[in-house]
Amino acid sequence: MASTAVNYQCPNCTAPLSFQPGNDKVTCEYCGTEFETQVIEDMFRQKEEMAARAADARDAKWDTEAAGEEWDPDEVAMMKAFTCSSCGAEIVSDGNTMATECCYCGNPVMLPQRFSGMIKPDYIIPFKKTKEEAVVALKKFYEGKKLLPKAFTANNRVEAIQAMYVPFWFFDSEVEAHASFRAEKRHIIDMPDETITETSVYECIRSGTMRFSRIPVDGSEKMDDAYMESIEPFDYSEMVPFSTAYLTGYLADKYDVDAEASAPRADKRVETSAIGVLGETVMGYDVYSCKESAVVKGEGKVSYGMVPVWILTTRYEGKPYTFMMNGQTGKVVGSLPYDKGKALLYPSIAAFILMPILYFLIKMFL
Amino acid sequence: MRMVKKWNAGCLFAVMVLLLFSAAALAAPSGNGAKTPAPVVDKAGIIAKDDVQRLSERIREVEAKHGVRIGICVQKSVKGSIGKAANQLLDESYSGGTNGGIVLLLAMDSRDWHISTDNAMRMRITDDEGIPYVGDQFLGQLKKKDYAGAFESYVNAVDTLLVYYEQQGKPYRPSDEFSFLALLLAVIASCIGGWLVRAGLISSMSNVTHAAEAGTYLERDSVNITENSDTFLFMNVTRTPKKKHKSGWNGSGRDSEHGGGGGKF
Repeated sequence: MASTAVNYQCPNCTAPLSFQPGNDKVTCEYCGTEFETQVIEDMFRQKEEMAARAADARDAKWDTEAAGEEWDPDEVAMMKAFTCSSCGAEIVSDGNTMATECCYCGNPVMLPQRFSGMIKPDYIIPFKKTKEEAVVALKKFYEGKKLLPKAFTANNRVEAIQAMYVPFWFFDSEVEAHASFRAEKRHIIDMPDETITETSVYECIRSGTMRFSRIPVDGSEKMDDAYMESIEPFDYSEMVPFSTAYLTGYLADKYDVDAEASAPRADKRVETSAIGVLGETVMGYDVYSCKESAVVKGEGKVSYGMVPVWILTTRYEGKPYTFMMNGQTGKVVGSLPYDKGKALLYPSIAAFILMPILYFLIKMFL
Repeated sequence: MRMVKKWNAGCLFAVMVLLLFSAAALAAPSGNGAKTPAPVVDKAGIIAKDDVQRLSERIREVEAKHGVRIGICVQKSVKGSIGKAANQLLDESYSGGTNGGIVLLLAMDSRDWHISTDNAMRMRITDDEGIPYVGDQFLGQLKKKDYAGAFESYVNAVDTLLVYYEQQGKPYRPSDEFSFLALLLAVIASCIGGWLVRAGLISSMSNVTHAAEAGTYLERDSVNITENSDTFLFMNVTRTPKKKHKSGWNGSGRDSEHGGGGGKF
């Protein structure tokens, strides 16, 4: 049976290869042999091409009628089968999965056939944080959360931890912004019987050009946009040209939201920031507000990259809680459950402490 | 006959001397503290004689009860500071009480009022809270020109504060009294505070939020401001009257020997 997947195996000992966070090289965990990422990439390119051709052939033979029951055409489009070249197991994965691991033998697997028909990422930010660091960071994330249910921490077991390269679009934007601000300057004159406030109102016109580089917008429909925006920022100085070698041992998705569909999210952020930059130049006033604005975007460059994210899932009272950690910086984001009893107790204590203080303060002014 | 004339002249002289003494007793603060001036001296003629009599009896009653001196003096006009004039009046005519003295002086032309106390009375009726309390008791009637009623309220207020001091061993402070309104406002404010604490604690359970701007990705060096013009449009002027202390309160006249305070009516 022709292999439809490529296992990145050590040429020395055939053990599975995986990219170690924080290293520039691919290291075999078993025999310790180090390989340049370029060497690994060249070594397996041919294998990938062959695997892709084999997968195409299998796709052509995909016969939904032969299955026990009829697949929904949408499901067929979403799910793809591949064969693990290490143990021969047949695995079904999401249609966007580019790299994963065999659920039977644990071998890291590349699915080069999934790369076809899509653009190759320009960059990749390699994982720097390990699985252990992700677990520690999650525990630290729980610290200081007064409303966290005791049962949540006491019985807390991370149900699943996945390291995933998430597809991101990076937008470079050159903008020309125009804004009209209404600004006020206040002069207070203190008289014996009254206070006179003279408010001088000005119209402040500001225009300017500025450049934003690499505004990240995730290109994955599956990933929650708010989570992806919360794990920002990334250190672009550690961004390197894309190599599939970095994907070994990690899940990797290809984009399913293209750059054109993602652009409005970047545009909105650029507009807000551009007006903010112009607003910073309205100086010497006590207060100002933007009345009108126009932001004209010039031709911008878009690049495509893969970003490292640790996805940690835990369960409490039957409900899953997902946390994500920036695989480069270690920033953890997520929403924790809260104890309703504590949510009533602590504010009540605060109110009881506040009450006598406020009583005496109010009495002073009555 | 000459003897009768001499006797008549003697009687006349004696009556005149008696009248002079009586006038001196009712007169405004003059003479020394050894004399016992009338508790109520009305040089502006604003209260009826019956009221003067009634007030005087009430003052004597309170004086005897607490061992203090209490005075009320109404002048048509007071030259200089009314606080200092009240202090002088207290020293000259209403000092010597075992537990201190207090006097209320009114200047009818300028519509000023001032209460002066000596240090003993100051211990019983404090400058900061006791005097404003006394002022509040009679000022409304004073403004309505119910002078007799106002003076009676003044005496009653002094009596109340002295009774309080004798019973509690400390001067009366209105701020010590329970205020239902303040409690109600405190309950509402603390509930709002508690709700804000709850909202803050709940929001701290999640740090997932959409990014609203892209400031992190701005190349600061690339910012080039091409237009920068400020045009004056107009000016708004608002006048906010200052909140005056009730009764137009002031503490002029206070020194190391005297307390009190006053204002306009």
